[in-house]
Amino acid sequence: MTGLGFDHPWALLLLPLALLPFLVSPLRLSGVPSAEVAPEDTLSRAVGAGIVALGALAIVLLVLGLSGLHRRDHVVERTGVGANIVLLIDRSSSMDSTFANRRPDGAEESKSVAARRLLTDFAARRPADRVAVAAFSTAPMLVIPMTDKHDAVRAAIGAIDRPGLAHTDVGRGLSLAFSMFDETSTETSRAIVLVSDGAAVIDRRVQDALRAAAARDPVRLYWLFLRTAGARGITDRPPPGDPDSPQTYPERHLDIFFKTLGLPYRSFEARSAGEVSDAIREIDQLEQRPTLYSETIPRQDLDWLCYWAAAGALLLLLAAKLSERRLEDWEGEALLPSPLRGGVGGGGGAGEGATRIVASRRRALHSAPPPTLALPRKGGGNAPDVHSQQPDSGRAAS
Amino acid sequence: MRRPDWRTVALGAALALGVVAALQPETEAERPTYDVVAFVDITGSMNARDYRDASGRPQSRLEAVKTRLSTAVGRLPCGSKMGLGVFTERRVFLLFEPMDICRNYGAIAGAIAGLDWRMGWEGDSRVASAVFAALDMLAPMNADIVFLTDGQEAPPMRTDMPLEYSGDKDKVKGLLVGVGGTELVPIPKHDDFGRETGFYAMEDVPQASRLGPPPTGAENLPGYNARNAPFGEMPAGEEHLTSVRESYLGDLGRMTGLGYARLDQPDALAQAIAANARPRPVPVAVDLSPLPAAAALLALVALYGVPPLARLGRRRAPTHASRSFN
Repeated sequence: MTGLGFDHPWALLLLPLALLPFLVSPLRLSGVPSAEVAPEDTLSRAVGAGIVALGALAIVLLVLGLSGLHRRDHVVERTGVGANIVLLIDRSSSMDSTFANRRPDGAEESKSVAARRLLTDFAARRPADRVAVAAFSTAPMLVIPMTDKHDAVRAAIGAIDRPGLAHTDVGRGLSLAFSMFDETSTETSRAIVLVSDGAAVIDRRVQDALRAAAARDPVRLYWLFLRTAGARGITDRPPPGDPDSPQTYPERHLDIFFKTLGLPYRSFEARSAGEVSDAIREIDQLEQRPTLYSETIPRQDLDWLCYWAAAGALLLLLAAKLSERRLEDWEGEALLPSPLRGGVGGGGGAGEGATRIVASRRRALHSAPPPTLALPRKGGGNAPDVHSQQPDSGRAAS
Repeated sequence: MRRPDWRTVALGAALALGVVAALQPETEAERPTYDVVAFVDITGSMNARDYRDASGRPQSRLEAVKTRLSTAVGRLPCGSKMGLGVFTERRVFLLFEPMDICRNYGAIAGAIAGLDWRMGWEGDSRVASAVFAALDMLAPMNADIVFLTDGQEAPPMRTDMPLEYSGDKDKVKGLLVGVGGTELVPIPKHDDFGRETGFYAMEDVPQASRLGPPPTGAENLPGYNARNAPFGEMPAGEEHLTSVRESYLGDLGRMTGLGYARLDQPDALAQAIAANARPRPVPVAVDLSPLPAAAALLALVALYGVPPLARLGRRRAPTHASRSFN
């Protein structure tokens, strides 16, 4: 699994501790002259192996938990209904006045405050969108690149009602907006929403660049024009006799220019916050296309799972331990021939640790346990220890 | 009744501790977080190349700020917020309001990478006015300031008019970050299409302030003409060259209650931000489960490890009687 991570990978150095159960048994050792006194049986073998495995498992799980095992946060691609939208927002100082072209007071909000409020709602309603924000005034400014983090979009939209700058350079702003679509935004779902309260003459060179960009990356273009009272609108034509030039009717000519780009284009003229809201609702309905967006699944800690599993293993181990019966406990029964029993009782008892079941798998080592004999440990498996020089604590306890 | 085997006790303890760990005990601790808005100077002098990038090539100040700032904010503790703005002329322009760094790091890093001197709306570089404007902007937002600039005022300040700050020194904390080297370097010049065409020469930029009424005694200056040159002739100077104005930024910092640090490696910048901005403690849950889990592991290790060790001790004891192990 590639999605797993560790907070403290160095703690994994403790993993070799899991070898301990293979070397030592948690059960008490009892001296027994020969393991042949108990018959071989597979159940005992399995239980013995199980006890070892449980001990190793408990240690491994505790170490994994301590090392902070977690599932890394990962990004899943989802398909949703929305769009890849570049919000291109006018930050010229005229946006700071109201639709009635006054300084905003308590009763009437400024165009930028209205735009901020309505665009924040718009972004919040559309979880499947990827949004980039650009601002333009005297110069185009990239605010945030294409992102599906709606927090970031909100923070970027939140800054649009700050005092703006002098001019309105729509052309270069648009050219920045065209460049902000990344390769993950599918071509059919690209849209630019231009929010401005005025227009300006677009330099001829910039016009050419925009035509080239429009031919290269087709997008849908929306122009949300916040019309201030007394200002010229998109559809206003000059009275007969007046010159019809971009300098005198920039809004009309910007609209004409957009229509010549050969892109799906809509303009909305809003004279009040209510009309802005209607326009945004309409864009919302139009921009419902299948999109790919990514959602980040936050990291999930798995240490608690490790601890529960370790506790489970330990519970079984404790059960095994509690059902341990020592050879001494069988003293009254005719399990062992009496000389052997004596040997167990008097011979210093350490030696073979065994439940009755486990004892059966011991190989015969000695016919009788001379108290002073200490065999060197033979490594491997559950080879029994036969050391019986001194009583160990288990012996002392009994 | 028999006393239970110590191994049973150890096993039971390990089990109990394991269960405690699995229940994920938590305590609440406070972690300092920071809420800052970084303002980046994008005036012409920031194009001077007196930094070096990772491969040793000359790097402009603005590029150095971009790479180091985004790394540095990534080192701030999670829960910290950051906003971004740019400075030219005499004011700052906020690009986005503070947002959670850890959750939106991609967007923040992308926005920092997108900073460009071409965003500038005017050529002037009135650092002090912009710092005052930024402090005004941040006071109602309750955010702290990180203002990255080389400190070069263009046109230069009037030396006979002391700078004053009338705002509240304690409303906004933070620091000014001095960007640039201490050696004077030339400033690249660009044409109308943004293509670099050389460097500024002495005659290209005003070498002394011409703002306001002429100072008293101006009539004694060389080249004085009451109508055409009320300040006298433009003196020779080094305003077309640039280096970081550390003492000026330090003074400005003291005046406004801000700290000062030189732009260095990202770690140092993150530390400087943490040292100068107001820490905002947020409660974070601290997982205590490693403690019982470690104790459980210890119990298990004792369970399995003590018998062989004891045996080792016993085996050695007879041969080294004089050096008892216990």
